[in-house]
Amino acid sequence: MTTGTEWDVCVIGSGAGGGVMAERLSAAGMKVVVLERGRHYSPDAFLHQDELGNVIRQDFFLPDYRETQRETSADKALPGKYSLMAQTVGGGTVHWGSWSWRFRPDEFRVASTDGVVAGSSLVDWPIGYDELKPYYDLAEQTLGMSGLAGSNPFAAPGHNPYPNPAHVYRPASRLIEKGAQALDLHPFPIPMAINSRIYGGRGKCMNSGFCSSFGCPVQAKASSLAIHIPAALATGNCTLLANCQAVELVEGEGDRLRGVRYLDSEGREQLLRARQIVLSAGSIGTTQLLLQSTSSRFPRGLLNNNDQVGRNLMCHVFAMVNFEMEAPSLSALGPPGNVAVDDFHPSDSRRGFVRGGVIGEAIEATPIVSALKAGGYLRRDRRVWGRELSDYLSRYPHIGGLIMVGEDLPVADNRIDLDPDHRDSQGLPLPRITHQRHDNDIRLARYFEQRMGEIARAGGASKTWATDYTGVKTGSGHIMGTCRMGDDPETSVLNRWCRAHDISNLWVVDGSCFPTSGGYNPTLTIYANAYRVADHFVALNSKGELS
Amino acid sequence: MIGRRDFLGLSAANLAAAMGANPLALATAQQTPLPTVLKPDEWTALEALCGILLPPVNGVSTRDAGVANFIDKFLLHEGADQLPIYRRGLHLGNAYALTIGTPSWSALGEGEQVRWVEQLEDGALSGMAGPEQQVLFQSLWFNTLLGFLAAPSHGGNVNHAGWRAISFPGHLHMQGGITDDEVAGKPAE
Repeated sequence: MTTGTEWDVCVIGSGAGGGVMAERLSAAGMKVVVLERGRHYSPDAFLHQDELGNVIRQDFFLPDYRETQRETSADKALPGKYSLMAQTVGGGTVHWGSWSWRFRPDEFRVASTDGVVAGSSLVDWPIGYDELKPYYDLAEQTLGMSGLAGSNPFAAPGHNPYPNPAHVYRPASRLIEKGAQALDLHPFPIPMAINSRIYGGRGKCMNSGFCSSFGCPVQAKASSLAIHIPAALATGNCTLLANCQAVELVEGEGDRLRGVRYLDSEGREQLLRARQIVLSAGSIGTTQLLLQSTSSRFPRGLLNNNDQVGRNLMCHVFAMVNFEMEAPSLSALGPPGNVAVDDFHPSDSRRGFVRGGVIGEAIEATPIVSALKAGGYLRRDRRVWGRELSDYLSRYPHIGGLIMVGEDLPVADNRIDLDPDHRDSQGLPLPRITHQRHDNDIRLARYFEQRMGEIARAGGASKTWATDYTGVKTGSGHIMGTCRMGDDPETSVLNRWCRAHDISNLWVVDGSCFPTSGGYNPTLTIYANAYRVADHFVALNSKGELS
Repeated sequence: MIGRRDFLGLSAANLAAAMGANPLALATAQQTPLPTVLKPDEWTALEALCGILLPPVNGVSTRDAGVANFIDKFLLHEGADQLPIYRRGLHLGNAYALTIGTPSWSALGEGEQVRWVEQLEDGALSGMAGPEQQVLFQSLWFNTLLGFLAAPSHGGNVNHAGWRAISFPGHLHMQGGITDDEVAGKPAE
């Protein structure tokens, strides 16, 4: 079935990238339709979330989703739920942890900074920090960031003040701060997109925990669900189609698409026509849709004649250290983490690896996740039961944690493609994740495990233990790459404006465009880049250059 | 059925996903706390097994928390493909008890039960394939923790027993949250 309307813009996906594009383009007068495969939740629905449903089984935000995963192309990929990206209006911004950093200037030119690293596919971004800086400013104000600008001496320069003060420190935060100061490091409040006071028409944080992997019932946590999609709808120019899954980008005349084939909420096939199409379905969803869209011109999938779509998948590398303290840590309460240490961020190959990352107080320790880490506390992976398990659980109120978000290196063979053996309930091939860590990632993580243990012990922790998080991949939610932006159409998929090299009316505005991953949580950069692209898009449209 | 190598190779988060989504089990758990799939002798053995895997935490037992009920509902619906392996394992335990003159596995002494579970974890019991024993052990361990600590709506953690045992306050947004001073660890005025 074909609907009669031809929209100015169809945005596929409603997370950080899609939300901003929908808001800015509809505010500029364009008629925008947003296709979102997930449900449109009212915030009160988030009162009924729980750890088993959201974190362990992931059936709240991903009720019907499956994908497959393997380490290398020689392995058999197993079906399951691996990537932690909400399929709902607002996308990953609904359940994100909200840590919001600007990438450092060097993180946009890693190849120039660190040179060739064997086994990696490092490149520079086609844009630099200065080009993104005004859009970081805009994103921080819009999201209602809390924090203390200028408190991190290793951060990108030129920060404006945050609109909200930092959140209060819990006892575990103070232990980390004390330890870092004792080691002559520079602890500072984590910049977070969670209201520390009423701001932007959204409430103040209730300190209830359940932030990362959960939706916020009072919308103190910023999201496209709470901010950008409502603003887009308020223009009167935007239509939101939830529970509608795009399944094919349909080619038109010349180098243009003519529309999107999708399944509506009843599972009926529809064709939607649009002059411009913005693909913002995340690194996996975006790749899946491109590869599903084949033609005589693009037999290997749309934009994929150079075999670059899906490659260079990145998901950050993590290190985790927990600690036990005498006083109650109160780690389960308040926003996700509070204090950070960034002294080890600058790349220094003398450490045995390149690149770096940021250390932050770990997100709230929900009970099941904490229990599943008992083996780390007991320092064994067998006999993790019996009285020692009970003893470990009884210490739950006194446990805190540190986590490191580290820059992982892009590797060409780490990729998303379509699984030839497994299909979903609609008969579509499942996305297949192939990902094996570069040795640099492992060395980086081990280094940071040592530093985090030192900080905790210097702060007075009675015991510290590491849990190996290097196996956490797309489950991090930090999924980047697969549709690199670059100046060379032979080695990239998008140009510097996130516009496809090969299709003139297709834009990809999400984390897919990242050439490298940076050593910080990616969402603020996705937001800032979306504002940048939206400005360019509106400028072209106003000049009549988007037909 | 998922193979042992595959099962053990999964992360904890994906383990549950591989074991099935929960809505049917959740709905049944909300309907009845009574056994729906396990027979009385199986239920009794399972309760005892869970108690060995996770002895009381601050005085709260897995029986207090209704862990067996959580597992019963799981085995009725999304975990139905695992019911045969649970059944074989529980019967193996009861049969073992009989061979040493004890009427059931739950009547064994604690030391004997611990040694049996160690062999189950190692896949070293006779009468059941070793890899199958290890799959059963992993599932029992995982589901015992879930039944103790998951939200009560899933059938375990009865009256927040598991959460009270570890001093976890639960879903505070249902109660209006807490103040900044409380998060900071300052005594309430």
